[in-house]
Amino acid sequence: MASFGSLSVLSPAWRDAGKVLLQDSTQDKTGELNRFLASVERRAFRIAQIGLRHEQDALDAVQDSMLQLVKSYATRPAGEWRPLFYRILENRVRDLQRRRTVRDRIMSWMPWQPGEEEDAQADPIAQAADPAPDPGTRVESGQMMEALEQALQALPARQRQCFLLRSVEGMDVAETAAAMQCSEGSVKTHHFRALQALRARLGEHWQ
Amino acid sequence: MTRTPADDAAESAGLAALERRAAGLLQDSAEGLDARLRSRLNQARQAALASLPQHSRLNLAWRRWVPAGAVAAVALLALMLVNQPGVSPPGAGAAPALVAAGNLDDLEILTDKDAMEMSDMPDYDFYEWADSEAEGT
Repeated sequence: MASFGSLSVLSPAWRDAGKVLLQDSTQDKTGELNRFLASVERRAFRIAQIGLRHEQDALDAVQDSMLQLVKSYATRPAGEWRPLFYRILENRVRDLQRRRTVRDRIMSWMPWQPGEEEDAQADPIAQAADPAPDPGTRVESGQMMEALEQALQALPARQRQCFLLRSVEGMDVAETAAAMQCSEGSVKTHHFRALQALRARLGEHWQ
Repeated sequence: MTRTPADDAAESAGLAALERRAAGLLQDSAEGLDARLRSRLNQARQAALASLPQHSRLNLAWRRWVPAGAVAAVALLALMLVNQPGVSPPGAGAAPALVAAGNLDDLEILTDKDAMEMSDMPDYDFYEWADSEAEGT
């Protein structure tokens, strides 16, 4: 606010020029963030979906991660956003996994399921199935995709995270280490073990 | 059985092939998300961008001008110091020396033991009273 206050001592022409610069700069940053989030959101959703095995939870995790990145790290250089975003996403996925574990324990003692009532009141448009089968659906329905997802879900969380960041998101070792908050040596170890485990599980499908 | 370099190379090639295949499948599935999911992700992104705090927006805008402002402030300060009255630019050594000598003289007067104390000053009230008494008589 002090910054705007100082504008009042300037002539109207300078004040207008300052406001235009402020708006341009804000639009630049918003546009930059928009482009970044648009570039990662689909892969981030798939990564969350594999970790959570639940579409709505995966959407929630991605949305929360986007909000957190924008609120807390928008002022950071754009080059830092990707590891930060995936670090937030992994934490969110872990939180949701824990919460779901607790919820499932509690629900197992209940005679009724409140989720059924929520589903009945859900927005029918949002719930409507997409009539046209798309390439993603076709791939997911394939035997190889199913086998791959099962193999990934069987991996320890850190190995799975490392594999997905390196292979799917295409991060280098340094970026992955920043996202996982571990050393680059640990990234290499996790990645190698993940590949070995995947080969052991997928060998019969993939050879 | 001992492993040969050829075994290691074959294993590495096999792992690399598996990685490429898995990554390709997962990337295709991400790019091929259905319209409903793409729309939900777009809504999530717009909601996140709308939450960009106003003060952060201002900070982002002003942060760009901080370095330029700092440089301008330093330049202005340097200019003021150089053009200060009584201070000559470097190279003209005589004037600063005179100023320094004047300051030292003042200091000597103030700290001189033999300097006149304020208590030694004449009692002007007494002389005024005596003068008024004399005029009265």
